[in-house]
Amino acid sequence: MMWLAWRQFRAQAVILAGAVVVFAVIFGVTAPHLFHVYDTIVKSCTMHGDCNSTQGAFLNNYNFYEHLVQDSIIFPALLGAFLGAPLVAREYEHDTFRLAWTQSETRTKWFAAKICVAGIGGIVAIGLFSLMATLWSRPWDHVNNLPFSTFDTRDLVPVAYAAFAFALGVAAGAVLRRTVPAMAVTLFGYAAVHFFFSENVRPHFLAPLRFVSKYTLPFFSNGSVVVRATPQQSDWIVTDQLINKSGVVIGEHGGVGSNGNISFRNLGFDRASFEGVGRCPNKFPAPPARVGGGETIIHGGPSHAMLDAMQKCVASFHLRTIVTYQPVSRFWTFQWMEFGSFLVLTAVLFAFSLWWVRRH
Amino acid sequence: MLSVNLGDGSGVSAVLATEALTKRYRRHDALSDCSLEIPEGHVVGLVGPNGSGKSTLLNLAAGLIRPTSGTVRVLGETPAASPAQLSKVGFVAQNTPTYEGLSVSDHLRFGAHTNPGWDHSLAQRRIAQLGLDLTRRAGKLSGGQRAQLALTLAIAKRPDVLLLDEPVAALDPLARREFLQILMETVADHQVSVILSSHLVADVERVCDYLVILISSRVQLAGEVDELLASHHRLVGPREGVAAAPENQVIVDSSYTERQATLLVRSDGPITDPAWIVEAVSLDDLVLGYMSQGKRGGGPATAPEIPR
Repeated sequence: MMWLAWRQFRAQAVILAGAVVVFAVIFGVTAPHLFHVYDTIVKSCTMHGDCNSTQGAFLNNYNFYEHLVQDSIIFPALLGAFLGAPLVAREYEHDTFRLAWTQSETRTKWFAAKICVAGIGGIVAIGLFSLMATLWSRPWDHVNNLPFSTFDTRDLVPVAYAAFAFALGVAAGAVLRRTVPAMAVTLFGYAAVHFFFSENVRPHFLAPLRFVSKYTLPFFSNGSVVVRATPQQSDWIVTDQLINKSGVVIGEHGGVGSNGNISFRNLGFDRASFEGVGRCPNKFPAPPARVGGGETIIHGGPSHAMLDAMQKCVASFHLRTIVTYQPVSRFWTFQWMEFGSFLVLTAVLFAFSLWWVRRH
Repeated sequence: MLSVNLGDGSGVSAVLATEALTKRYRRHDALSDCSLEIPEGHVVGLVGPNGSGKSTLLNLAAGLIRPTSGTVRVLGETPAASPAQLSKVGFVAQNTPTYEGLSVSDHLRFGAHTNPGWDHSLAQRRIAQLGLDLTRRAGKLSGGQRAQLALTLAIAKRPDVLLLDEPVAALDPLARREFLQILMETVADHQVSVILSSHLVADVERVCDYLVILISSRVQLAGEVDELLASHHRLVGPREGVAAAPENQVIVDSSYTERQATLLVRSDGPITDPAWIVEAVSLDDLVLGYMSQGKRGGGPATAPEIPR
């Protein structure tokens, strides 16, 4: 059966190998320049004291390739849909299971041979890609300094995603017995499980740390909000809630309300209110701009006097922020935990598929 | 049921034995309460209209599907229970599926890799005989060639029993005759038992010496062809004579004109009543008789006993 499994996988193996080679060329061609720029310009920028713009330019320059790496998040799904889903479904569609299962070897052996050959082939391809992508992205990741934001496309987890998506495809094909519906189920199923995991499971692998502080307005500079210094930038902020004097949550994402907005409404005369919180007790200088029906949302660069008035107003409400976060030191623990979780799911799906195939 | 001693003194074992075998799908019974015992050494024709359960019975015998209730044994073992059991059974599925992307020689290699008893020279010889191009992909073969390839795979594993599910249904008359011809040669050369299904009596008549009639998911009749033909008669006589039919006769099918009755009867003794003209029946008459009886729904719930 190994022979048949290999013979059936041959054409797909060529495509997978071709894809790996194409990416190897892309990474290989761009890497020398990337590393050169990083080593000579970015690393030494601290000496010139102009790191922000240098790093920004560096990130911008390699944005295209980095997007390529980020988009590789769909590779496991494609592997599941194009390699996993047809594996058993096509044998049902073409009735060839009647040929395969009536030779002198059991269905279990047939199934094991198929998933071993195609599965290992596909997983090795994704593994090689992940290795190349991870190594290539090192400088970019170092500058970007948000390891959890690229968690899904680095290091170990892509391999486990690939195994899981492949197993999902096999299971969908075994149950539905039709390739195209099985492919659709695999794509959507993988996306749903992956989303669910990253939103609802991964943040709770270990209890997040808490950081409570008095709330002050984030600094304004050139119209962009500077991220708070604590916790570190490289940590993963799980929740960032705003709490009022009596301990009630009044906002998420570092602001007011579920969207985390921070805005002031001009009430006319020198009065204003902190939207969603209350009327400011202090006086405001004349508003810098007036938009629409007497409503001014302050963004951009307000004057010092304005900023002072806003800070004073915010301080009067005695708000606190509670940040829960996963420190960057947990990155590898989380990689292993996610890797293990998806491998367990993979094993469950394979066991289910085998049971299903033997039973029906 | 009928059992025939094959004369080698080793006792009789059943090539296919089922007991109250039932396969139920969500809405309907594909096979109901089927009890059969087919002795070894026959070429068995499994006939019946489309949807009567022929495929279901053969797929159960090949171990591709599992019974809802009852038991099925092939050569004394549960189908597909072990590699050893699988190696004794050659199966050619309906529409003779093959891997369309694989070449003829790939199929032979597949057979060689998955069957310990693979007879390479037999496979080579057959492919050469058929004039098949070894490098040709199975998807590019004609229906007849594909059927021959599937049969080659099933034969070259050197099984004790060959199960063929409507192997010639999709073939033109010439390919059909050629297929059956080669099948018969194989049976003669290798002493293999064969169970083949067909909805055409002519195919069965040409090659089979044992007959099983399946109608509406039930076994209506089973036995050796010679004995079945000897124990069934067509009677033509006066209409009013029907009521007075002798006790040792069972009327299988009947048709009437105003004054005359034509009956298909099963009888354990000679028919001596001078009121009836007794005619021999063909296999066609027999099958059609049981089929029309099954269609009326008036048939016996169990297969009639065949007298020795």
